[in-house]
Amino acid sequence: MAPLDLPRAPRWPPSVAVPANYPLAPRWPPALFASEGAHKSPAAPVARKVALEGRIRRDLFSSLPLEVLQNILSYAEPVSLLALSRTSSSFRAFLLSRRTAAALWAQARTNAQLRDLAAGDLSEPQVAYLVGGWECQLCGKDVDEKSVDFYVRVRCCAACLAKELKTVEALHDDYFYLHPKTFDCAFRSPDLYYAPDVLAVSACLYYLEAQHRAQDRDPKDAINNYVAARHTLRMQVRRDAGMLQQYHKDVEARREKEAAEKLRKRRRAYEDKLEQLGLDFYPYSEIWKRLADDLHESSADDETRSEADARGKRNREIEDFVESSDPYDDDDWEIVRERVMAWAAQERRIWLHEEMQEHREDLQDELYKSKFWQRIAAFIDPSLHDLLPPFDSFLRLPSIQPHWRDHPDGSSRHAWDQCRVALAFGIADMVEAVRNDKLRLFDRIARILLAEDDPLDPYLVAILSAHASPFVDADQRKGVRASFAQLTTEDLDSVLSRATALFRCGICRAVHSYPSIVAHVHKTQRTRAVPRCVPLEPALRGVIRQMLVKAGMPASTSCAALEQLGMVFETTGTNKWGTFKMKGRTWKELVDTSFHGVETLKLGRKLRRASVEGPGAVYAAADAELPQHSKARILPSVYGLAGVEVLQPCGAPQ
Amino acid sequence: MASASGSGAATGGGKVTLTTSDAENFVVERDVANRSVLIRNMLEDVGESDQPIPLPNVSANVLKKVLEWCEHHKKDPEPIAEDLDDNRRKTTEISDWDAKFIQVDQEMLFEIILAANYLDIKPLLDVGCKTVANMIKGKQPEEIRKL
Repeated sequence: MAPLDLPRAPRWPPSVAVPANYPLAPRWPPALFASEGAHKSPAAPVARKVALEGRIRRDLFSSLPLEVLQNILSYAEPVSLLALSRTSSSFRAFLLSRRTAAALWAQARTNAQLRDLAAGDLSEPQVAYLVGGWECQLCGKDVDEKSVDFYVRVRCCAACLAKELKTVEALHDDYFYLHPKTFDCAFRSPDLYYAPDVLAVSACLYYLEAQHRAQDRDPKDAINNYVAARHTLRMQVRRDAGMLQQYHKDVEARREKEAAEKLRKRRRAYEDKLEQLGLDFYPYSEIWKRLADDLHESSADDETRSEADARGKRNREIEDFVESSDPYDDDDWEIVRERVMAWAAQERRIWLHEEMQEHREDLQDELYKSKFWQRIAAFIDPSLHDLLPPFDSFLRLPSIQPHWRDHPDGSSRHAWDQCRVALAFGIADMVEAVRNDKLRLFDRIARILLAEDDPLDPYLVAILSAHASPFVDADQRKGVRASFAQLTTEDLDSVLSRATALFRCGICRAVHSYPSIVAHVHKTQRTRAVPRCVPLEPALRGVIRQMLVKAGMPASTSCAALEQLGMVFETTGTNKWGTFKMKGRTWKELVDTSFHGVETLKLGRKLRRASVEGPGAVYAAADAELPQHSKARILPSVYGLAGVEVLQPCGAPQ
Repeated sequence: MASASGSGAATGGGKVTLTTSDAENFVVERDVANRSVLIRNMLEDVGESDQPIPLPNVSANVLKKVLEWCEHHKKDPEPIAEDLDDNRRKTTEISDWDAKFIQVDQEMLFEIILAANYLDIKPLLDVGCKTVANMIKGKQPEEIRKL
């Protein structure tokens, strides 16, 4: 018979070949159903030589009787069986034989809670590889469990997947000779196709067509049957993909749960150990955070290399200890014992300290509730009440402190309430505290004024120059220096009452002179006064000093004098809205504004004119309220117009 | 004979002497020794006897471990014989005590498994098998080869 002159099917392109280790490509010739011949290992085993490292190791597995081995394998999961089948030829023969190992694989799948796949064309090892294989089936690189596409049934690395998953257009561009029915048969994920699968399917279709044409038969039916069978398989694969994805999620959740449970058990065991040792910290679960965060040894500056290595090793051991899920082990405990014990001792000290603090606070509360403070204040001059130290400072007075600090047993709960000695010393301490506050403020402002060449009493200058602090060794607890102790109230007030000796509240920026500044801080800020009292800024002090000079007033002019005379002032300055000019402000009003933004300060025009033009216009209203002796004493010194008749205030006797 | 051994087993009283492969004798309570089906059957066969029971396949250090397990589990109920066709899910969970007990080097682990198999102590054999299965779990072929 003459050969048929049929058009030849396109040749399988020599440049394109299905990878030899591609396990899930349609077999050649295509087989639609699983058969014994299909059950080959998913990937050809890579020949690896086990390094014997100069010694022969005993193969423990091989030494076990078969029934014991079967017992062990009955607890395994499919991936473990697959891994084991790659370890030796005997295991491979045993586990990949359907006759001997079918029951083991079935049990393994039951253990893994993996249901049967709808598509029955994969062997048990192939399913195991798809579900949990550890290497890329194309390039052999290690991959994790998630590197799989169940829709095209391929387990490979991201790079291979990106290279081989293509669109229809890309595949047509790359391979012009694809069979027209190829994309009806190839697996799809979801709009991409796996190129080796596409090529194999196309080749199958051409093969079928060629085979039928060679026998002078119409290939249409065979092609349609193949397409229908592949379509069914594709549907089954899609269903399986959904199931396997869910399986992966379930496995992951189960593993997380198991790992958490394991970790919880381990930690519980170590916490029980701590409890048995009776260590003084609670809760014991704190130990894990502590080990992870704080018990790492940090490097020292002069650390040698070997010391650094040893430290690194110890730290790694700690990290392993914290992260491990292994059951309790005495050897493991030894790794951290020393550090945990040291930490526990430290915790005990902290705990005792906190207990002591708590106890002291209780005693302080008792002191407060007993109104001991008010009882002491009742014995002190009411004019000083605003200056008395706040309760916190009161607690630190030498006579009061022992009552709450040195009674750990709390036995003195009512002692101070009845102790007359404590009362007497408390009164003395309170008054002394007021005096000390005043001394400190005096010392601070006097030194500033001295540095700015304001005139001070030579006696004060001598004292200030002799000692850097009013207290012995600059320590208030050691007492006041004798030279400062003999300063009278008038001496101190001669400086503190000056208009240039204003203080600003360090918290709210309000401006006051002494003693208002102390009362202000005690009352509004409820804190110790002295640290919060800041001398006025040098620039503002300069503005005030300039005003005094222009007005012919001495630098020692007091705030009270400026207030009492009823003077009004003109100010200019800058604030956030721009420059401003204010007229007719009294000194008190000016102080109340805290001198915000003030850049220039001068006497009101009326007063300036009065001081120059004569007595006719002087203090029409304001002066009328002033006592005559004030006017007589203050006016000459204020205006510097001595010797002229205008010095005589209105209504003064000639 | 059966009645005599039966009464002995029932009371659980008396001591049994076991001789290891390295000629070391272990005197144990009968109900501890009865955890081993092999020994129990031998005792039932021999009846009341002061003769030591030879265990030529078990060395002293392994038997010591095995007896430690038997002592701890002497009051456990007898395991129900498993149906060979039963393919229910098998988990590798082990009790805390057993997990601690089986924390031994691999050589000893395999010796214990072999001894449990020889002495026919099914629960101990299961503990050993589960431990080995756990050792394989999640490992790649290279890692399994190193075991």
